[in-house]
Amino acid sequence: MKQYSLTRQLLNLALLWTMLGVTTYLFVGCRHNVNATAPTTPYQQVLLNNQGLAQANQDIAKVIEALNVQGLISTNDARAILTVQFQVAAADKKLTLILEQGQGFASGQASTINGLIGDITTAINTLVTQGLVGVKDAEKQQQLAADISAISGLARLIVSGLQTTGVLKAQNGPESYPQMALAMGGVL
Amino acid sequence: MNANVIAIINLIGGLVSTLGPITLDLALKIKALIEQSQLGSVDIKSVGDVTIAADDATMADVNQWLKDHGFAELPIV
Repeated sequence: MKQYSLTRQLLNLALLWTMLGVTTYLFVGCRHNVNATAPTTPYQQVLLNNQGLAQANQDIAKVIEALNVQGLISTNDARAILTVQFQVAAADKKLTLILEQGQGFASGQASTINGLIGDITTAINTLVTQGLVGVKDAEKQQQLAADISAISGLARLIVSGLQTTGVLKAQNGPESYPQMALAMGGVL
Repeated sequence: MNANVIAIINLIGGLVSTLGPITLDLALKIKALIEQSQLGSVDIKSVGDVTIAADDATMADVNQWLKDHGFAELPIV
């Protein structure tokens, strides 16, 4: 118990340090680079947000496996969540294979992109409404909810970015994703 | 500053303030993405490849876990 508290304190300190670093970088580092580099385009931002989504999904899968080892989630509950993580990864890989071909190519694949984003948001919604019930530790459950909310936020940024770039039309955006809206409302 | 970067910062800040510490690893990765974005060094193909590698690793990891626990592996399509 004491060891856990120490680990927790160290994590808190490290997180605070990270946030301080981010803030410092944004207010100092960015000023230095304003005229030295080209700004990131909205389409590039979509790819970066998509990368964040994939990595967050990967992290959650690792956490679920660790919780199962610790006995904080049953094997059957872990299996259900990991299956959803797999579905998110599979859909995101297909989405990425389209997006990395470039904006022009992606624009011709709007229908497929809509379907894949729908798959991802449906899976996220499943996690929000059902997936975390089996996590016995309330604190761990809350942390997982935070991670899932990060994925939801990134998915939302991907959709808005694709709308900004014209790859997706506005009427195919968040308004057309009631499941995503539910997921966002359920966590954030 | 890019609006998306602001949105991500707000997202992280909101998570920290309302839900306590989030996974440190995730915070560090998001920080790295922000830095990459701000430096303007984004190559779409390489970012996509890193993303696909993460997705592939997730699917392989899940299937290994399923196999280790006596479940059928999920098809990778």
